[in-house]
Amino acid sequence: MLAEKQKGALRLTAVDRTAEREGLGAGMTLADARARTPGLRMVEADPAADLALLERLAEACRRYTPALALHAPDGIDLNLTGCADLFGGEAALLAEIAARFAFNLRLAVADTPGLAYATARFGRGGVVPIGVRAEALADLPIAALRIEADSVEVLRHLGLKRIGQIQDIPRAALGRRLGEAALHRLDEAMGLRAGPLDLKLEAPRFMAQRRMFEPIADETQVLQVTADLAADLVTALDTRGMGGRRFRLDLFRVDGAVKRLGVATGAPLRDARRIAALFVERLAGLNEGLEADFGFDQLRLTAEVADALRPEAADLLDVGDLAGGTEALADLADRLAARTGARIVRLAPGDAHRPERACKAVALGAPVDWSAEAPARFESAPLRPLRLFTPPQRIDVPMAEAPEGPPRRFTWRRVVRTVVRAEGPERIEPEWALDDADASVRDYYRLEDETGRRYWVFRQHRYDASPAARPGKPPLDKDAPPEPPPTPTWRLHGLFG
Amino acid sequence: MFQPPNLIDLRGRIAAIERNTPKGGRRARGGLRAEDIGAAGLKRALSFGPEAVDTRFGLGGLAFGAHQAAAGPGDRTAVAVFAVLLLARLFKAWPDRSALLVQEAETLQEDGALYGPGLHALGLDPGRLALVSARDGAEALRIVDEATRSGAVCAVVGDLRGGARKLDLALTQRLNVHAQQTSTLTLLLTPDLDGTSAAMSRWRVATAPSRAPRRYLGGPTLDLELVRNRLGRPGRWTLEWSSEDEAFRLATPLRPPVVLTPVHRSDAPFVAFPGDRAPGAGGEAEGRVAAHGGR
Repeated sequence: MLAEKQKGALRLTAVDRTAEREGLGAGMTLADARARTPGLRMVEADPAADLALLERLAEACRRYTPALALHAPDGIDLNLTGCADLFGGEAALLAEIAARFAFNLRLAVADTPGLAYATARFGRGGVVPIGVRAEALADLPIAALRIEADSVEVLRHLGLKRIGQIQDIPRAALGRRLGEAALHRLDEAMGLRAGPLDLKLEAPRFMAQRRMFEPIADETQVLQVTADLAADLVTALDTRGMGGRRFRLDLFRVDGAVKRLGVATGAPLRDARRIAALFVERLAGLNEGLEADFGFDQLRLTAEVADALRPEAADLLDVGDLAGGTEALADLADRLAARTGARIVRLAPGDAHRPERACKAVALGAPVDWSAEAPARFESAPLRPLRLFTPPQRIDVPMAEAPEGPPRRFTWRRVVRTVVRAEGPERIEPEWALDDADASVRDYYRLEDETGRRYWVFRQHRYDASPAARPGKPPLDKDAPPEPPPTPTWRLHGLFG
Repeated sequence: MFQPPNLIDLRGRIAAIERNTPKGGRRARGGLRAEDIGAAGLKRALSFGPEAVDTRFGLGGLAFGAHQAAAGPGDRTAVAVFAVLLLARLFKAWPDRSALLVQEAETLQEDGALYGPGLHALGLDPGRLALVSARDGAEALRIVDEATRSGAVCAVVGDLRGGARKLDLALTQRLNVHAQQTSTLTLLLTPDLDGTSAAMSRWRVATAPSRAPRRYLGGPTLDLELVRNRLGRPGRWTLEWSSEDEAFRLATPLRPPVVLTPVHRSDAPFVAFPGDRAPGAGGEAEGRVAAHGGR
């Protein structure tokens, strides 16, 4: 017997058959139970562990269908649409589930979740034939509808104990007595309305799965089956004119564990060969291998995200060899992402003149157009560096060397560099919309040192560096000389090579 | 369309060359003969511009295959400039193709990231350059290998640091063969030229002082040393890049100007160091100092 503290006293939450025969039931306090039957064995209830067990059970049930939901504390709802055939029919599926798990299970298959719930818990279980909802519901007690306990009490007082008795009552009267919720429940069970649980149980549209006669553990065999699944999936995608953007391969082990592998593509894909190739890369990139142990007996390939695929793009995908061009590069990008997770990017012009914002990295598929920008050079000399440091690096410029113009000498990374040539200044001001109020004005210089290396260096100062602009601090002594303007700081922003 | 080489024919040619070379296996002077090059199925990827450079290669320029360029610690941006300018030449010769550049993640911190406007200023369309960042050197090499084998791009540039230590004869030979088969120019940028390599050409790159008049910077100027060349003899040149030709030019040697002519560049920003005198007013000595770079 399990006991738990409820409503201020230790109450029983579950009893076994012997205790049930003694007359004990859930909800009874432990003291009463002990009084009735002295020789009790009590175990503390652990709802967290129960939930964990339920979740593990649900994981193991994913092999039957991906669309399932927990019905805490002790139930699982599975949407078997289209899945029963793989297991030889609904009755065979129920038999297999009963055989697989060593629990005392009450199973039922019906048209609607509400009816299945009612049949499993309050009825005989088994497979309810299609379309006989009203008759199947008629014999079940009203509590099977999952309506409020007080409503059930109200109906019991009225002498209504079975669902069949309330099916004929006009709905307006029922609604007045029991409330809208009860009416909803009845409609759900009858299949006249979709309950909130139904939405969670929606099965994915594009799915292909296979059961193995004998479990497979070898990587090549797994890839072979994946290729077959991809071919099946592609036919389903084809009929809808869609391509998959994200695919997931579920490998179900004989002992119930599930291995999940996902790949994503830049553009919608409907080519079975390329999908299979992506999974080849994905498997190759696994650090720990497949962990097949005794083998997998079921594989399922799902297209989790699918987009419309334009016909002309599809024609190009059907070409035998992808020789050059953007398709081949996109394929390479997908394969590299599947194997290593590395993303291929391109540089696009940013919409700002501040140098660190003038360039941004975008995904491979995004459009990049530099033709609108004029190349920043004067004759053959580039005005922008090849490499940019973020953030700009500090350099030391001795005060005496740079009164107004570019520095004649500076120290960067502990090497003193003597400037031989200089061009500039190029003033870049902060952008009022994007920078905050105390961002600085920069005067950029292009410098070359004696070895020929070129640097992009700026002097940074504020708009108005005079003492009068500094807020708050009145001068300590009126006769003191005015403070000198703050020394500007120099930074290295990039290298030209 | 590019035809893959006939392997049996190629093996026969190689056997003939090996029989004909003197003892010790040294290659005959001048490298491969023209007919050997043709039979080997090598194809020219790009030309440099100046004839003095292009005639060093039997094909008139760099061939599709694996090449290696090395620069010391201070010149890493210079070798990147070299790679970018080669890509610019390549894009000019082969429109509608793209290139892939592979970087190691830790070099971004030390060297800085590639800057789009800078690429654009050097004459390269950044839209045709794809970038990928690898976790470490081994992964960078794997990506370079994968990209070369796929033939999806016409050039693969690998900016290697730790990965350079893993380059050996077998790996570079494999890259070479794949690159020739898929018409890809695979350029490996390494910190040094240690280790054996089967690359078609090996370069040492350094910056060179600018040759522009007065104190202007001018176009990029590089000191290139062709250390090994499988299609010809080695050499050494100082090249500068010209944007209007979109090609390299042999840099004029540093020499004082005979007559100092004033340069009118009214729209270019110009700065004069304090103490400089106006042009023409005793400026010859100043001009000479400027041309020598202050040395």
